Amino acid sequence: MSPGSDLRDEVVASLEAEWDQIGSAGSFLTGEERLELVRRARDPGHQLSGGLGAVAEDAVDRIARDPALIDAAWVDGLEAAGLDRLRYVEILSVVSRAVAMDTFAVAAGLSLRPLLTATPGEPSGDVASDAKQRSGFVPAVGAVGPASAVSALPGEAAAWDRLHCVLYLSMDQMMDFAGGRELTRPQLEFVAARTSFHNDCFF
Amino acid sequence: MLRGSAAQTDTRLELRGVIHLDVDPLLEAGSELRAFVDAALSGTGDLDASRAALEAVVGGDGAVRAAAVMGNFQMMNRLVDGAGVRVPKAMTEIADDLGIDRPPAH
Repeated sequence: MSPGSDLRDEVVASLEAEWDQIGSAGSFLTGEERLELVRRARDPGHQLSGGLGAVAEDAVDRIARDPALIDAAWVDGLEAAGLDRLRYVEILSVVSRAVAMDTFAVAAGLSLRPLLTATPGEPSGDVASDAKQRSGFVPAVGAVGPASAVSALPGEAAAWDRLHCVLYLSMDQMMDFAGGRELTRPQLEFVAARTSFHNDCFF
Repeated sequence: MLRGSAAQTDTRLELRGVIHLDVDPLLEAGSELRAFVDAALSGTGDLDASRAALEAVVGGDGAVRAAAVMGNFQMMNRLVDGAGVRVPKAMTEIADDLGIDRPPAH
């Protein structure tokens, strides 16, 4: 990457806070457990330590490498094997965000950010009181949609919103079709569309 | 969002160029953006070379933004698939413009 990109340094600095969040306790998983998920997402040969187990490995592998194959039966199977849907939401959130940040690093010509020591602390147990499973595979606040996929867990929802703003656009900016960021809006959306094509994701 | 933003900004765009490599997207830097995404996500081609080619047309910060947007949609694709977000019927119609089969709609 060319040496003169202030934006690159700005994005990298913003992502530091997001890596710290991943390495800190969430609603159900400790910081170390969350970092373990990222280790598995980066290396399918990495066996998860602690209490996570094979069902969590299956979840990480599918989310990280074959998300288009996720269907209701598979999520039901995770639950039957002992991974409840809210823990699944936390895994989905952590792995999705880690893949996002790793993709940025690779594409920008940077090294993957090393996973350092987890921040000590116990899971909060925080769940949105109005989260319910209506459609889709997981509980959500309101109807499950792109902006509410992890809304059942307030910490994950806030982290999603921050990362979405850093990497792409804020929700307000999204409504301005004429506005861009370093690229024109159509150019931003073209990248989004080609990326989604690679993931076999029509949405 | 792509079709809408191109229409609102009066930008030349051939939607089938999102999917089909033999179609010129007509969008300024579209071919370079496509090659950059492909190199980063599928290992097709030389990532460093495609990044340099993109920087030459959109500048260093433009290429960084492309990398960032790529990351964001890696996240979004996983979230919508993982949470079972359904594609609204109205959205499936764009498949015709893209030159692909319509997905199941809800």
